[in-house]
Amino acid sequence: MKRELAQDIGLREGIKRIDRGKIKKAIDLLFTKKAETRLKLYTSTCIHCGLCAEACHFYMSHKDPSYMPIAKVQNTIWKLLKEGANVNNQDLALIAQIAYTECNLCRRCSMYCPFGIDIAYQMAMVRRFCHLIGVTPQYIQDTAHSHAATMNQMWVKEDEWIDSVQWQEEEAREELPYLRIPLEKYEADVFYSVIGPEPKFRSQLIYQAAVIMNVAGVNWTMPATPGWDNSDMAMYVGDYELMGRLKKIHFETALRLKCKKIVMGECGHAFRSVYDTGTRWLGWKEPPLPIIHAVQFYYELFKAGKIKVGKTYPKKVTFHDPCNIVRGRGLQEMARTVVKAFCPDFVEMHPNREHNYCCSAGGGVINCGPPYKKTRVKGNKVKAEQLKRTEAEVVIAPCHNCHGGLEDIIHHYGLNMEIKFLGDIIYECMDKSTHPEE
Amino acid sequence: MVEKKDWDWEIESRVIVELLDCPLRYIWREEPKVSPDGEKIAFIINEGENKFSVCQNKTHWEEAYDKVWSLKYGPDGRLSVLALTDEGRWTVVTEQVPWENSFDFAWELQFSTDGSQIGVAIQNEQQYGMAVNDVLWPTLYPNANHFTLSPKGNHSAAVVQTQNLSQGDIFKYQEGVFSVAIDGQTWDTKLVNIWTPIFDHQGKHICAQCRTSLYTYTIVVDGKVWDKEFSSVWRPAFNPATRSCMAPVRIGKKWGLAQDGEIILTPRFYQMWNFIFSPLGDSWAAIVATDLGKWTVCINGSTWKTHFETLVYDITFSPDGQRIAAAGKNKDKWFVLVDDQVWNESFDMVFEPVFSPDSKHLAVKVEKNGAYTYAIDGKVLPHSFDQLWMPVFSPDSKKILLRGITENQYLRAVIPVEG
Repeated sequence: MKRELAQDIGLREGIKRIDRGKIKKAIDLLFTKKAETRLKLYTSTCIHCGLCAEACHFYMSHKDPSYMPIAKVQNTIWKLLKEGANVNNQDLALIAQIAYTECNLCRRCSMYCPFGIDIAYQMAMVRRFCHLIGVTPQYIQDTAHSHAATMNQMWVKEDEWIDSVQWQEEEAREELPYLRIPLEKYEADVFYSVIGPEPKFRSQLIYQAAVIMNVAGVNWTMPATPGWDNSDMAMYVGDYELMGRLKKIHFETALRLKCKKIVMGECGHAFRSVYDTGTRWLGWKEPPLPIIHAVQFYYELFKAGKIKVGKTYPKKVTFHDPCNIVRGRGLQEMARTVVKAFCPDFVEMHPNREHNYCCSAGGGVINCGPPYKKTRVKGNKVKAEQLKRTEAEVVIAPCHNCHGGLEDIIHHYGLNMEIKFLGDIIYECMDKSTHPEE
Repeated sequence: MVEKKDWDWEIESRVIVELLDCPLRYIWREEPKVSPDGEKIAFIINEGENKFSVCQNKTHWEEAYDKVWSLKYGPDGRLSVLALTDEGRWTVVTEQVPWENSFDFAWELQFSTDGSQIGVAIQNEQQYGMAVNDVLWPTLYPNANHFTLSPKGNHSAAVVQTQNLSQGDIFKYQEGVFSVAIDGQTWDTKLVNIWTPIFDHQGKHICAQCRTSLYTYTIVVDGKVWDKEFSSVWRPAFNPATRSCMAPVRIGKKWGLAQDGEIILTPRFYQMWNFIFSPLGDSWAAIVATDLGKWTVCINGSTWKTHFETLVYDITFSPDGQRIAAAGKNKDKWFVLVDDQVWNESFDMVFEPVFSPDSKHLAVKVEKNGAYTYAIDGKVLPHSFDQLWMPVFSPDSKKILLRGITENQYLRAVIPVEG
């Protein structure tokens, strides 16, 4: 494997500060003495056949064998198993670099493994190891710090959150004079939660969600307290204790307001954490309140006739299936029902649905920041080619990280495509004449 | 303030506002709030562009503001809001009287137990702190969270960031820049993270969850960190009788209980949280999961036989500390759980249980098929309401005050408690 260590203070300073006693303890905990049966089973089952290779966009794009999923396991877990606490610092930093920035935990490779080995889980365990020894990329670690300090991932202060929501409510009233974003409304049917970047950079999404909610006549609320952010970079750093803390406050905020269900905005990783990983870590076998992703919510509103097509979207569109809500939750057909209703000129990208290529931003990779952008973008040439073949003008991607990843790819490969959220399309084309007055 | 004993506990049912969609002038109206004694109902109303006010029992406040939110009745029955003045400043308005101080932003309006003290989180020029009864902290901070007023309202506290962090300065963060400020003055102790500061009943002491490194969690009391460290902790509580501090703590992958830094319940639970003391401090209780998806209540170390697979929530001690009630959930069905017994009927939602002062009766607001009612000692009232507020027992435990909206009328009713 030829790999340069990135200019990342989190890794470079991390290995200088390393307590070597922690390495053995972490290896014992995660990979040997106290390892989960699942991990032991995966490690002993893999026959090194390499069928996972062509599932990985990094390998398909770079055509470098070191990017094959099996190689990533070999250069991380197997190295730790072989060298134990004697593994050198440079290798530890590279192990972190592989686990955090060269695998999106997208789980596509698991579908191509003849034994169904969950390589993403293995990489997540490597990240957990890196967290425990204190060697983590700076940018994503800073995001985890924000989570711990503020309970949101973007250092959004409490007043900034409320002010953003009230500002969007005021803006949206220019369009729909009676529109409300009810803050702290008790016993609402829907508790709507979003991720940190929405109030910070993409506040128009709160505006659009408010318009959709109001036109559809949904009894909804958003909280005025921490707990509004459903995102979770702690999960991707490997800080599971913090992950649990984030999920607890999110659910307890909805429970405090006595809402019937939680609807999440268009984010994939947050859904993975809230619906699955974080919730189960806390001991909930299933979410304590029903929780659905925006795609399912839009589908249900559409099927119930609460949102109607006012005009069709004029451009040729394609649809990108986000890993966490399609491979992870099977929302592909719901998404297509809504997309096709609004966008008559729809074309599939190939492969699609659960076989779709990852955006290469997910799994916290884009959150590791600029040092890894080049590898990430070049590592998804295959995605660029996939998008280009569609000849679509617009790609719809109902996931924040997918937007970040696709935007970089589209720009780098000169694809001349727009990226939209599904909510962008619905907001633009829905019939808003049914907006109720009090 | 009218004492609870002096509320109207005689008249069975009285309509307070007949037609809630009153013809008074407003463009839209927000969710209603009702006073503790049930005599008043209030709404935030919009009277035009940048013109918000309050309508209480069909009477408008005299002043309108650019924006009004966070409408709340305090425990003493006074009505407060957060209002944006025409100078673009936020303030607290109580019973139509605004504070003299105003702020760049204000939120998290809260009250002392008797309602006499009103606290609020504030931001001025990107500096954060609290104000109580129109008195601002002398020192503000680059950021603050977990704003807390003591039960008596004599002190206020928040977790504060004691110095600015430049973007991405992960190592400075890990050295610890957070503390607790009480009335604006911080502890000397700086920690990696601090969460949920809790005052004791006298407001003299504070305990909180904290992280001393990214991996070591423990409890900090009055700035002193417990000697023992854990893989995680949850919200602590002060024993009201002894002022010792207890908290759920995690060792390895199991949860137990620690008191003043020492393990007093060996970790054995998959989860343990929402720890509470009985009012007299002679018992404690917590929600626990004995395994994945097996939720119950643990009292003084003993777990109940009844388990729920989805959720147990809102555990509540009776005033005498002898009884405990909670809400339980299996799939989408909610149940009332009391003293390890489940009431027969299931609901679409169960709210926080309320014990009578003599601890003999339990009333619970419940929802079924979109209508609300009370279940009292296991029996569901025959009447249902479009909206219903929490039940309030009379001081002698013989009656319950009901506050609800039905057929567009807001009414208060006094229900006798059987037995």
